[in-house]
Amino acid sequence: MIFPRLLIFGVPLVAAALAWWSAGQARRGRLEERTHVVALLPQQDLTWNPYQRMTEGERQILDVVHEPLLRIDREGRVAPALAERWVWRQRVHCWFQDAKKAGVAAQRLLALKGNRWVSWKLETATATGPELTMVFSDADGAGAAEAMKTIEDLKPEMAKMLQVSVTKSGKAVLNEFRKSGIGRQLKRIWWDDDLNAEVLILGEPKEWGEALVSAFRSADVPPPELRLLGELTGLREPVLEFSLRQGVRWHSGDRVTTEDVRATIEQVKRRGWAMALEKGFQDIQKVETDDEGTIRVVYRNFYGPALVEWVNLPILPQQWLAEHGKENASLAFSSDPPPGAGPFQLTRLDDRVLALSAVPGNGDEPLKRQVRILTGAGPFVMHMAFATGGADVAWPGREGLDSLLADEALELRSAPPRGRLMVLWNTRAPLLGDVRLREALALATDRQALVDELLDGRGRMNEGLFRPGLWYARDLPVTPFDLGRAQRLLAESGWLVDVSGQAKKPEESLEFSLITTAGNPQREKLAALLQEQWARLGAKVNVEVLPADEWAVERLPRGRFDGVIIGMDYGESWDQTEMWHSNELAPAGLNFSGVGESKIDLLLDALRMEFDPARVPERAAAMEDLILSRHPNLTLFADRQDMIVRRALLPEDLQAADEERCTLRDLLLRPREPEVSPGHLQMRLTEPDVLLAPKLEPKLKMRVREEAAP
Amino acid sequence: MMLPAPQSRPDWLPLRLVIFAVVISWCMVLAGDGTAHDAWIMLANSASNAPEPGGLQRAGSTFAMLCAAMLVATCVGLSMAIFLNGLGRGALAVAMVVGRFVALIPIAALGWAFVGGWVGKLGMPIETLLPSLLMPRGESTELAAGRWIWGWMVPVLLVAVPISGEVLTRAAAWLHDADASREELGLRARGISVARIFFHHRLAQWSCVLGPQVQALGLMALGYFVVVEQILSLRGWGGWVAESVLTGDRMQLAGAIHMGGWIAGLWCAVAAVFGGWKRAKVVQRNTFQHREPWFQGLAAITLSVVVLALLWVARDEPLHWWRLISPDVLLAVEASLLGTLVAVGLALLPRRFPLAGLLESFGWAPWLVWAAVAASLTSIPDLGCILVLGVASGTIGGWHLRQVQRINQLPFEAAIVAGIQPRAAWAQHVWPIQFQAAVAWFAESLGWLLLSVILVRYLGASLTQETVPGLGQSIASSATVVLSTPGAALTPGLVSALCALSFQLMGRIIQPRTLL
Repeated sequence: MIFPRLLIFGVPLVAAALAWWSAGQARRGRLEERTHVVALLPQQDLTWNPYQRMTEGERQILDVVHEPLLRIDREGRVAPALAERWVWRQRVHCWFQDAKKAGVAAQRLLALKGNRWVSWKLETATATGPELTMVFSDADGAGAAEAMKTIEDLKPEMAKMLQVSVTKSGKAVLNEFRKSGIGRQLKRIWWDDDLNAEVLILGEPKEWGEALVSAFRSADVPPPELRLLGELTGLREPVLEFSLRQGVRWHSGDRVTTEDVRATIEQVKRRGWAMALEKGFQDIQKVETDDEGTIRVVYRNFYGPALVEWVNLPILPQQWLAEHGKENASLAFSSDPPPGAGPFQLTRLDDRVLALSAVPGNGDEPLKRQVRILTGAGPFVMHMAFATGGADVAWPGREGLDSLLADEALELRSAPPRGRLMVLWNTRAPLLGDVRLREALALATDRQALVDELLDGRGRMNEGLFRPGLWYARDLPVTPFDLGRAQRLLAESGWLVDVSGQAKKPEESLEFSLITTAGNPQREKLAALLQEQWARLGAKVNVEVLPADEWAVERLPRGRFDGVIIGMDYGESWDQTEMWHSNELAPAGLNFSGVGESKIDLLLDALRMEFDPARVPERAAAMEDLILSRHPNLTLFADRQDMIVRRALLPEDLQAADEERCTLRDLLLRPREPEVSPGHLQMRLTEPDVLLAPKLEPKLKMRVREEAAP
Repeated sequence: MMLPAPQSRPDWLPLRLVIFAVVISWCMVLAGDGTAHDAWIMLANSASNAPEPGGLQRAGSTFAMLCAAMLVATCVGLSMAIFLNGLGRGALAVAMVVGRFVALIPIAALGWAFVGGWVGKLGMPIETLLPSLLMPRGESTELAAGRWIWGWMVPVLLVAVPISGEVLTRAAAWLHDADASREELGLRARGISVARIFFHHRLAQWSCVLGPQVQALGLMALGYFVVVEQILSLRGWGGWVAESVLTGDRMQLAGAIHMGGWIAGLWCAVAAVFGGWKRAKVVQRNTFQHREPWFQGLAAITLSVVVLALLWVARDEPLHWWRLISPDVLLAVEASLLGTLVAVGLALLPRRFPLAGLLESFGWAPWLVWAAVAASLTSIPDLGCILVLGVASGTIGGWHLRQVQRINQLPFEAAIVAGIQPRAAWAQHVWPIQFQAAVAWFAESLGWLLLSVILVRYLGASLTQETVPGLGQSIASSATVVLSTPGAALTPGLVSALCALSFQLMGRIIQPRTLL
């Protein structure tokens, strides 16, 4: 009788006791102070390819594993990463008839060493054979011209710039031709694509051209087309010089070398990853490295924003790139992830969990030893993980965010936005050419209502042209919604609203089209909301829902539109030439809005040619103010890269209630002490910062031609 | 799910279950454009072809949880019944109703309500939902053991809840009836203590019935594990079924069914070993007079009236429970009616239906599992029909057997001998009993079928994103908000349990002796 009694009454008691104890243990396991951070990522399949477009969560995770040469710091400024120092330099090459003359020129310049060199910012002047090379410590100073004047009487040779167009197999022939006798007169070649190049030659172009044609004929390749572009006595080349931080090692244990940087650049160019399409990256002519950890990137054109293109380029080990260079990229990155040089290394990567471990002594000081990341975490799992104390960080979508925010232990933080949605006006359209009408439409747009309706109130509103959070971007509030003012402005420009509510002028009514992308319900809804808002102003808006291919290829380049809703990514670059410069007007360029003013062009050029990040804010503000005053676009809202963080995890300096920014890097690493005085960019200049008058270059592919013969 | 009658348990039940599962999985491969060779390959490799952590490990973990859940549920049900027995017959009567009510709450609603309350409200963890993968290595043994055990305890306890409710109902009914028997009075008159009477006499006697009943409940619990493992993201056999339904992979489904047959067979064998091999025929020899307590009648009438009134009142917005429950009820009514008519027809045959043995096997099959599997093969309306037809036809065997036995007990032969015309004898003795039994059967089975329909529609809504409005879908859609509103899943669950209970109690009023 004992056994049945024990069984019947004992089993429930044992089960209850076991459940009580085990649940308590599980709870304790969650609440114990951890040395690791648990993060949740909604994405399931991670490519682990740092060069591909990815979500904010993925980007932040990769940011603690892989190191670029430069990064944007907490204050939004360019800061050192793998590169300890960087500086723009300018090289000027000129050629003489013989080595003796080149030597004399060098001696003459050396004799002037002192104040002249300081004012010119000349660092070195060396003669190698008949070639004289001068290196200046600024990229855009006028010192080069001054220095050239001092050796003008030695009559440097006129170098000729030619445009060469070849057929398919012509590139190989041309490269072979360079090795021949007369071919060595070719001093530089810049390939625009596989068929077109610009070359710089010494000697007579006619002779050189004939030899080239003959070489092509002997190779049984159609001869190239040659066109003389101009002549010059000195070739200016901008050089961005990086000095690698010493002692940094890959997670595999090998030392980070300059060859890794070179291999990364080659791989990115060969693969055609997104950053390879950046203008500055395309202009890379040559990468020179030495054993002392210096990398010199020689550019084809003068382009100040090329500096910030390096902040998005993680450097990978040369060995890994060599092993996987020819494989499918996604396969290579996911099957055998490359070692990084960041403060955390990847220790586990499977279909559900990523694990990162801190690597002390690689520069940044980790605050946590481990990070565990669960992938494919939906809103339910996120909510559950935070409710039970099992998670510290997550990058949730809008779905389920409200329920997470109900937890008082959690904070909502965000990274700077990555893109914005705007209406781009065609300022050359008959109706919308009137700036007052465009301003009235901006005033009649209730952007907060749009954000509430489309993004559940989770969008940023910023009028500016630049990515908020960067050192040169201002926090520009959007034009406030003011229907009354909009109506007055409209009336001032001659539009009167009739009894039906339609604004009219004699023989003209306020009616225009707004293009939006087919197959994108959110944008269609946005167009409908704008239509509704502007109808209150008296405007009749005809929404055209068109496939992206159609409006991007057929309508915008040909100016056949009034307004279009487009999404645009922000970048780190301050160059806005493509969007607003008159040289970039459609159909040849991407300036679809039709803005084309010489004053704007000058400001854009000045900004594009600005190499000193400290001077960018001022120039950017001037340009931005001018463009915004023309209302060529109507920025509606920018995205939010939301992140949920357990408050206890936030570092002290980010705990302020009004603080919004935060990234995984901020949570995991102790902030670096600023190496220069606050408010000054961490730009190292070898010489005193002498105020230099900027030199403007109106054409993209222009080199110094002030001494060129007609 | 409909429980087969204990006395209808066929010989070699484990073997029949395995063969049945093999045939179904084989047919499934063939129906999916596979060849006989593919089917054999599937059968041979179903364990190794299963997704991580492998078929055998998945089946093993589910089987272990099944055994644990059944042990806990049986002991909880029995201990509660024994405790309530000491409080008197009234307490047992209440326990019978409450136990059945708990048993009729859809496991999906229980599961999500638990998740919502435990995690959302109390902030306590469920290891399987929050991946323990995230925990670092090197934790203390105590912590690791606690977390590991808790990972298994949650599904076990969840499945044990409705099963213990059913065990409580049956144990309470047994004790309630036995309390008034002449044998009981005789034992008490001889001065034997109540506890000794129970543990020495009653329990030994009842084990003949309890064994097959626990076996049948275990097969029902197997279906519950599909739901529970889906809710808790467990990587067991139930999770395998759910994943296969989700992906629509026929070969994986067939493999899971095959493995399910082995689990069911193994469970029946284990239950038979521990519950005794004796057939429940002893029940027929020791038939006692089952008396319905007055409480159940009153409760049944009150509940039925309240439920119907509530459904009627709330037929409009915003509650619209009637709209939610009506499709499920209609489907259950349709299938129950069909099943009852077929069963009555078979029972009226003068000799035992030749396929009764096969039907007995059907009656013991884990139909909820097969219905969940069917979810991936058909659209949801057809799925409901398949499920309900399967369940109804499966129960025919048991009911047919019981009615044949009952007719055999009637004085039919004697009436003929006494000179009464066969037609008159049928009209006087057989038809009234058959009609009463059929109506009662219809009403009682309606409750179980309603539960089955809701569970299968829940799986359909959760796994194949079917959107047939009903309580199943209501439970499935509440899953997204349970953490902030823990009651969201329980409310439709309680409504369906209340509705099903009222149907069952109505059946008990019509024919108190019927005990499903």
